[in-house]
Amino acid sequence: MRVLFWSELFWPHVGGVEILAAQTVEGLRERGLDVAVVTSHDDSILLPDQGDHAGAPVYRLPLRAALASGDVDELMRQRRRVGQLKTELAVDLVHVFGLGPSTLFHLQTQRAPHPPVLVTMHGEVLRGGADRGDTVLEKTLASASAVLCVSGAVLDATRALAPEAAARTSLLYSGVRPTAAEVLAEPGIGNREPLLLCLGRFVRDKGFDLAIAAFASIAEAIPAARLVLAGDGPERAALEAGAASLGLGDRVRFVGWVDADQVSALLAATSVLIMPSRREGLPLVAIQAAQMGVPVVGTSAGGLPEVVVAGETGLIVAPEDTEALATSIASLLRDRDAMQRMGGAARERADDVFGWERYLAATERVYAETVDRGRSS
Amino acid sequence: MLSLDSALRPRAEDLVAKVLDGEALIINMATGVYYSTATSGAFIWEHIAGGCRLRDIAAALAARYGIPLARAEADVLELAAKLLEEKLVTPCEGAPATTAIDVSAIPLSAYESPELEIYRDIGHLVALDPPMPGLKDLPWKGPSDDTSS
Repeated sequence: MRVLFWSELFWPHVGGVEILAAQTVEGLRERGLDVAVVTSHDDSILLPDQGDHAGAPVYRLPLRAALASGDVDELMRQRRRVGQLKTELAVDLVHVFGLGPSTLFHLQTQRAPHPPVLVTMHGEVLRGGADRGDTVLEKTLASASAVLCVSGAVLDATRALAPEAAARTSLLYSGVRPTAAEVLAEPGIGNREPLLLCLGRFVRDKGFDLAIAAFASIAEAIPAARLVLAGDGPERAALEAGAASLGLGDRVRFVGWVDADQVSALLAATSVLIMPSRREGLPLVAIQAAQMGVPVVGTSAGGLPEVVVAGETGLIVAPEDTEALATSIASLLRDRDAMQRMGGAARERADDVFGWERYLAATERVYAETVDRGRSS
Repeated sequence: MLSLDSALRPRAEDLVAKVLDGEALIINMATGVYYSTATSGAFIWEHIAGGCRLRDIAAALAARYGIPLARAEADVLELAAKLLEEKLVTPCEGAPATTAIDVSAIPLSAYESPELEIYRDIGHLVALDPPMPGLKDLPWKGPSDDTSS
């Protein structure tokens, strides 16, 4: 089967969706699928127009720049290029792996007859609303042959937004490819100096400001505790200023972006992962922590409670409730048995629910079903 | 009040618009909303922008496609109303006299009523997830990505 894998941005851009996209392409290639990636350039990283990822060709077009330019000729030129690429690739299936502004080019190059389209919804639907059918979001859902949602929260929101697509919409939990370190590592639950970790983009939705505020009270009660924030983003300066204003000194460290190996090592040394999210689709880092037996204290935002089972694999608090966040983290740090029990339960559940091979096999099955339905319709 | 005797003009101060390959692409730079309309819609947009009265545009459509004049007038009025509602056009004071439109310039294909495709969330989608990381922030090598080609 030949698949056009449409990803708004792609490796080496990072973020949960981009990392999952790259790993999914790798996994599908290993399963023998003929996958070609079409993605947008972005001015933030200079990359070649054509590359390769795990044997899959990667075609990068300046789609986001064309949209930002307001240059109608350039928009038309890029649209023609997308149309030509689709024709040349002659795929059996288009998989739109998450929505972004560049999805407009996919929508506008769907000319009948076209191959069936599978759409994976991440957290977009939790942040964008309906507008009389006049949005990329609604038009993409309306034109999809099948829709996969990465969490139950995303599934509910998608069906509410596009009830006419409900019968074509289903749940497929994302998987995370385990690394050797994740298989072997023991989490840092037994650390003499408890390490709390926040990992991800420094954007408001992640709520890392709330983690810093919560840590200020934890730091008083548990003097050995430390907080590491790994990642970067537009909120970084504000987060650093917030930590400094609370007098947390070197007990809060900003370590910047960390690569895949470093993520495993960091999680291996972590006592508790903190996810004070205001919005979430299905956070991969929570799954990765679970795979490594690290308990999570997170919020009830989006699909987070589907990864973190309250009281079993971690603790859940309401978004924005800094006091409850601090209390929950402190209670876990004071109860090593509970941490170990929850970490073990998280690891076991991660294997069952978020297993990598399960995810790939289900994706491949959905591909086959979608193509078959397309042929018979 | 919109009527067949109306003439409209694009709100040029806010818009970027062009007709290419039989399609009108219109971007409202003030709101970030994208519009497109093809075939008959592009023809109508082009002649609205050219200052023609709606009645003359409808007559040209009916003549070229061989459709009833009433249908052409209804379609033109409907699209014009949408364009007004979206604030893409504004009534043109001092409507011109009847204008002859060269219908031979219209590619002849099966007639389809004009549709205005609207994409209101482009700006929202851009703002959702800023790309990460920037070039200066990229500290690692790709796991299996060969970007050297």
